[in-house]
Amino acid sequence: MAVKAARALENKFETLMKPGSLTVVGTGIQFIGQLTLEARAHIKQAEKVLFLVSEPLTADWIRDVNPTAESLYPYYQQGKARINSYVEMIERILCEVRKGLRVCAVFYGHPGVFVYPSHEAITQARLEGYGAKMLPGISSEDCLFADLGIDPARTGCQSFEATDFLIHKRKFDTGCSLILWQIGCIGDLTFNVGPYDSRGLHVLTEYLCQYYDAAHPAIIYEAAEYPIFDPTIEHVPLAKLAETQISPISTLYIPPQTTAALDYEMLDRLGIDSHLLASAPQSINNPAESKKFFDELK
Amino acid sequence: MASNFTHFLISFGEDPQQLEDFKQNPHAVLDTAGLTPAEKSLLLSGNIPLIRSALLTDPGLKEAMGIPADHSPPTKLPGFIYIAQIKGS
Repeated sequence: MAVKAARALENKFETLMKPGSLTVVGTGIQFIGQLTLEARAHIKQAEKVLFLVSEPLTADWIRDVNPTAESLYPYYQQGKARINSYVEMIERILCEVRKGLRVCAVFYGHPGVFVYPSHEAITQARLEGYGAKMLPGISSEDCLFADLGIDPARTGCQSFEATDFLIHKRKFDTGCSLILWQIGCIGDLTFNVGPYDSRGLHVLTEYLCQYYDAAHPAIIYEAAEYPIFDPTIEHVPLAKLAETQISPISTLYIPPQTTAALDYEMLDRLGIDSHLLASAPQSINNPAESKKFFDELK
Repeated sequence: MASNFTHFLISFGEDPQQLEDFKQNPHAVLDTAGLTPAEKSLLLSGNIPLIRSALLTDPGLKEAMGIPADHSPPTKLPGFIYIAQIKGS
């Protein structure tokens, strides 16, 4: 009954909305293969598609699927502050929504992860009385978990944009996985066609070495854009980070250095048997250890 | 360049066996794909920036990306970043 009432209210709300809508979708990281069926259908059926992708064949594919498709890339310009480009992209998207069209905005990866214009365009469209929604896509983080074999549930996982991490002095736990994004363009707020300034990487290395051992292992990661190639997975001691060749979209993964202590009082309050937790295998990548653990449970 | 090359790359997402075959014996798979010698050597190089640059020499693909004809393409587009937090804090 309550669901019916909610649905009726929703329908009534939709009829009150202006004509014109916005759906934001992602292409995933890997060429076409990570695009969901749902996203593909929205691209196909939209009355206007606006897109920003990092790969030429994907751009070509989108235009092939929907001939109205138009790239947002021209809003980028060498040396221009990215925020200005994003504001112009948002305005371009809304301009088509205001015409009363069903608009699909397409971004690479997950359209809501590290994508400023997508969230802002949705907020603005809703404020103006248009229907707007986002569909999830496959992000670099999803690829990282799969490629590095990391389950964020095991030790917990902290994830920060690298510049944001430094300038806000984000609090973090060395007993928990740490992921830092965009380590190749730290401190650079402009758009560049060439290499980004690497000064920030030296600063990041020094900063991290205050908390981790210099020899602590880290991984520089980049998801594969084409299915026939492997992802980039480079193991480096943390202190050598600044000497490594990285790209603007390289990601840094730092495994935990310490083991988080158990809070026995909390275990008691939750009624959890501490012996069971203490004997859990430290790594699911160690089959012998895992087998012993599960045998003991039988 | 784009059409055959694009379809070839798309096919890997739809056919895991073909991907496995490619990893085992790339030359054999490339030989049956109807690609040009330039496209084959590009894929065999495994050099993604090189592949991107080569793709963008195709005026149709450069236009599809929305890159003006007289502009150099970027090696990679960095993701959108944290500007909201900077402004908000």
